[in-house]
Amino acid sequence: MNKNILSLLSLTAIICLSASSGAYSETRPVPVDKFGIVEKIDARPGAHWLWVYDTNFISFSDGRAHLIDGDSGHYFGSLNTGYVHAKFVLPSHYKEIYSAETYYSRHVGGTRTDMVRIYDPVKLSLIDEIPIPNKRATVIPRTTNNALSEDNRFMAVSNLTPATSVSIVDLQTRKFVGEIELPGCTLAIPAGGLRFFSLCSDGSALTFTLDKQGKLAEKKRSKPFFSVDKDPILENAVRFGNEWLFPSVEGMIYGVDVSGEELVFAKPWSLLNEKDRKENWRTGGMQQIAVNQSHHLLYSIMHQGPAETYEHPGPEIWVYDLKTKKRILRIVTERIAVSIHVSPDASPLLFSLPDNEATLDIYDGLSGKHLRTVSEMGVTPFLMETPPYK
Amino acid sequence: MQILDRWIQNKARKLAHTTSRRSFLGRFGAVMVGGATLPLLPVARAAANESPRVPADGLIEGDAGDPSKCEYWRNCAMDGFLCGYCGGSTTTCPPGTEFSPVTWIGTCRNPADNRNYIISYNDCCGKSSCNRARCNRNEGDKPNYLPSKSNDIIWCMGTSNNIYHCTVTLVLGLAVE
Repeated sequence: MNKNILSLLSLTAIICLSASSGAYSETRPVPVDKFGIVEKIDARPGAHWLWVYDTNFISFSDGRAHLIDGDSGHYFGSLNTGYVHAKFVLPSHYKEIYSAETYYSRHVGGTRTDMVRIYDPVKLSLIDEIPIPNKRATVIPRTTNNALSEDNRFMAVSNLTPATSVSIVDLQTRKFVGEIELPGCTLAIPAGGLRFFSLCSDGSALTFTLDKQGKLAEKKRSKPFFSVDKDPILENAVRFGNEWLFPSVEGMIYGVDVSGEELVFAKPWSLLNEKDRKENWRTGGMQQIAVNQSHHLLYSIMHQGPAETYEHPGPEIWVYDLKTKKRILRIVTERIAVSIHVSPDASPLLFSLPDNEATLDIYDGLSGKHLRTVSEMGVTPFLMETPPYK
Repeated sequence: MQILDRWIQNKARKLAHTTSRRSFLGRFGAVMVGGATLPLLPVARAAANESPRVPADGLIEGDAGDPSKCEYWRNCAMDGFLCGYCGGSTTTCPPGTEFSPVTWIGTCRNPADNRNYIISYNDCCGKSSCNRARCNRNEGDKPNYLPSKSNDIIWCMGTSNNIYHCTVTLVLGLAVE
């Protein structure tokens, strides 16, 4: 806008103000607004805040993450996250946000640059970035692609070229430390201290432990604990106490306890009774299950169909008490659910993303009652996560 | 066939677990160069068969015989955009994209002769998502810890960049019965 137009606009504004002050001499004039204010976000996240990760299936190069208040549906703001983004890894202190991202210099071509980018959760702006090898796994997002060590210092980023490995980044020195090869295995799941584990193609788990500099200290392989052929487990595990819970294609829950020196594999249990099995119910979707720690509840997206429909969304969400492993509620969803997440607190909200629809449905986590819907929720949101809440 | 499949898979997994990545890449590279860019065991096994005579799709009733449909028989393990809607066809990439030589494979039954064929799902790369005719069927699809059977990986590998556009379906041969 050139100066002449600006002057003209200002003059018009002054005339309008004078005219209105004449007509409404009793009322106080509207104060002049401050110019150039950019919002910030409260440093302490609420229990019902939610990061919605939008991989943007329509244009993978333009991934985003949106921050929402589940209580009001308020949209706080967003971050851009590059090509085939999965999700952030959020440290327990939540003073920074860590994100493994991939960019091309010419949008869909040119030089590829992979890095761990570090964002300020208050300003939603970039603090720093650490280059990593251009090998980051560009896959349909999994919650377990990347992970933080328990002390929040080291980040493991899954690579798949298709050879599999992890890149280790030191977030304190802001440097790439090195690469750890994981032949036949993929994913990085926190397993206490400086230890992680990945899942392998023979149904075993591979633990890898870092030393204090972030170099490989030990690698150990378990015996197979599930059958890749008969009932493969799905990668989107959820944490319950010391256990990671994995859903399987046949509706089983496999627990992996990471509190001891060795991983301990719990006896798998089924989400289905005889009748459910006859009716062909199974878990499905992208982020298939969720756990609320306070009430020890497990939620699972359910639909009816054969094994190959394990990525299909579901018209129902079933709720289980993890102490008794019994189903206590069936929620019929407003829109069929492809991903779910539940807040960790005592008055939980259940979040649900419908398939291929940029909408977020929010339910009461205990009664299953639909509370509100947030529309215009990005492009194709896939995964969700609540920021660390204390 | 399943027993043989499993046996080969188990052998392949053991090999992967006992072989370092560098030597795997060396061997993989040799297969890529020597095998006319056909990756991994099941594909090589299929390629060793004589070229099968695939019956004409016109013999198949309904959508399973229609290459424009997600229900088309070759699409049984598909998860992506059908290239036929993006300027290519079931076997050719759209103009200006790059044909990825590295791929995931599936086994699909052809209703015309009731035989199983090995299908190679190759991605066409270098332009952003075609975003037409999304098809997600996943028969025989496995999670990402079994990469050669996973369709949730962007298989634009060995191409000048890994930007995903759409997917083609090539018959590689008859599956071993």
